[in-house]
Amino acid sequence: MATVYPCSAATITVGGSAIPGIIDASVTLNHEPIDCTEIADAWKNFTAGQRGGSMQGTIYYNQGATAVSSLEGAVAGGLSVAIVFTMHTGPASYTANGYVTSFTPSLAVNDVVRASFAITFYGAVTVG
Amino acid sequence: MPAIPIEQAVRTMLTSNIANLTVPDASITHGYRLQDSSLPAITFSVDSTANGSISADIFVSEATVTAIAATTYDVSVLQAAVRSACIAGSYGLFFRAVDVTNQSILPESVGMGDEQEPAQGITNITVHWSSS
Repeated sequence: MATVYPCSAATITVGGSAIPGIIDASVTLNHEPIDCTEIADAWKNFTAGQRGGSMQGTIYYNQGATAVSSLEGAVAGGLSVAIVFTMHTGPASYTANGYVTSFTPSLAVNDVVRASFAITFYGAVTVG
Repeated sequence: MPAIPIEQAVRTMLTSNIANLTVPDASITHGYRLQDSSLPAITFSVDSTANGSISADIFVSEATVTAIAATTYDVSVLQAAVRSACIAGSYGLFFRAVDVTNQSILPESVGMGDEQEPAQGITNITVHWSSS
């Protein structure tokens, strides 16, 4: 039987402070293998290459929340942030440092203020 | 788990923000009004409540507030009071944002036995709320 975890226990911290009011979020780990195929090879060959990661999300905009103002300040100031992205209880988290590449507050008729953001990781990502 | 039902909080919002002289507290009721009760009156219902965040600490409820009065004009005045009453605040639950998404008026009409049916003003609202 597959184990299914609800999102309700998921958390994202920025510099140790949890982001409140997360609407959606995702994290991506990338690996770009290096093509080492020789001309006589019938099949493609690769060797391990560089890895990286990024994350993005949508939240309710609240500048009074430390984590939100940290994201906003990081993109404005060109600062890095320490991220812990926890999917559910138990060992299911990614810990990384990254740069906030975008922070986009948005407005719409009959809606509340939201913001979307994107972060590109640098250095090693710890999968815990 | 919310401390009180969302219905109770919506009623508190309406009774707190609509003057008793405009509509008496007792005439603001959930679901329906008694046919022989005095006008004007307000009924309301909460049509849906859904999680607004992944951690389920923010909820989004859709509610309908119906203003009932003898004439279209009276309802139009009452609807303005309803719009002004639907605002963020602490009503047992914390209403973080209240948006009036739609308002419409059904004019008075002829009912069974030729008696006049009162006019009704429908106000749809969206409430973003939390329990703490």
